[in-house]
Amino acid sequence: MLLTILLLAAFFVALLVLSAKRLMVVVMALATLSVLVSVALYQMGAPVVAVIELSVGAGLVAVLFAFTNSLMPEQVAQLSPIVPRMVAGGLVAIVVCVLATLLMEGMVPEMQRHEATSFGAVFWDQRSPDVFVQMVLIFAGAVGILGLLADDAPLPRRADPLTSEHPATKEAP
Amino acid sequence: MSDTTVVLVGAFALLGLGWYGLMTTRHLMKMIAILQIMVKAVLLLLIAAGNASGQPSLAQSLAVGVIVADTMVTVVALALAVQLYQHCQTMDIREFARLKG
Repeated sequence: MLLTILLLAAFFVALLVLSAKRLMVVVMALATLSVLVSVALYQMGAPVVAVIELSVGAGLVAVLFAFTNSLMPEQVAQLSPIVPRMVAGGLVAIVVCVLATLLMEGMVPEMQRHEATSFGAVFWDQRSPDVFVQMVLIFAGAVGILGLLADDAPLPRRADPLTSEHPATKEAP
Repeated sequence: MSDTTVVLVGAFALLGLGWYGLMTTRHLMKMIAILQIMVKAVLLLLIAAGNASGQPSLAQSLAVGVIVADTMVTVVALALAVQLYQHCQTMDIREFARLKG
């Protein structure tokens, strides 16, 4: 029951992200969605993922969005959509119909709660290449950010000590 | 309805909303936010699939990787958005198609 309420709330908050006219409302709705999804993940028996999602999704990403929003206009300009709304809605409805068909055919297995191996053993031992790739990804992301946000203005050139005269070495007349 | 069915319906609703949003939005910041919605739906699906298949630890370790990758993609996309706004003074993705060089 709690899972149903959480996912229903998440859906309406996601609707708010789509329909909001102000960017700060989008950011707050996105952070709220992250909190709701984190609680849902905890309810599903994934506390580690829930904590990481909560700290990263509702914390780091929300702050980054807010910082980026402060550099541009608050209001979202109303632009005509790329795909007509009717066509987009129809495509999404087709996907939902396919999902409903799959659900009615009883292809969804029941959720199990048995734990074969611990999360730590899988994460650090069996998936250690993934951990290494994640570290590289974080480093590459940080370097990429520094490169992208660097100022384009060239640095003032430092005088060459071999060719220029230092004031202290000048001979007095 | 079982827990798995509830999660599947909720996650596919979020994914559908994300698809609809990506097709109808031209504002770059909102597109990045909509991508975040879709990644959260994928996280729910991943954990539900892990529980249903009896391998929850594997699904959780993969979900952590998804969160890290998604965060890096978002951060780089936001940095690119800042640069594009400083260059074009707009967030309309159609205007970015005119960029050359």
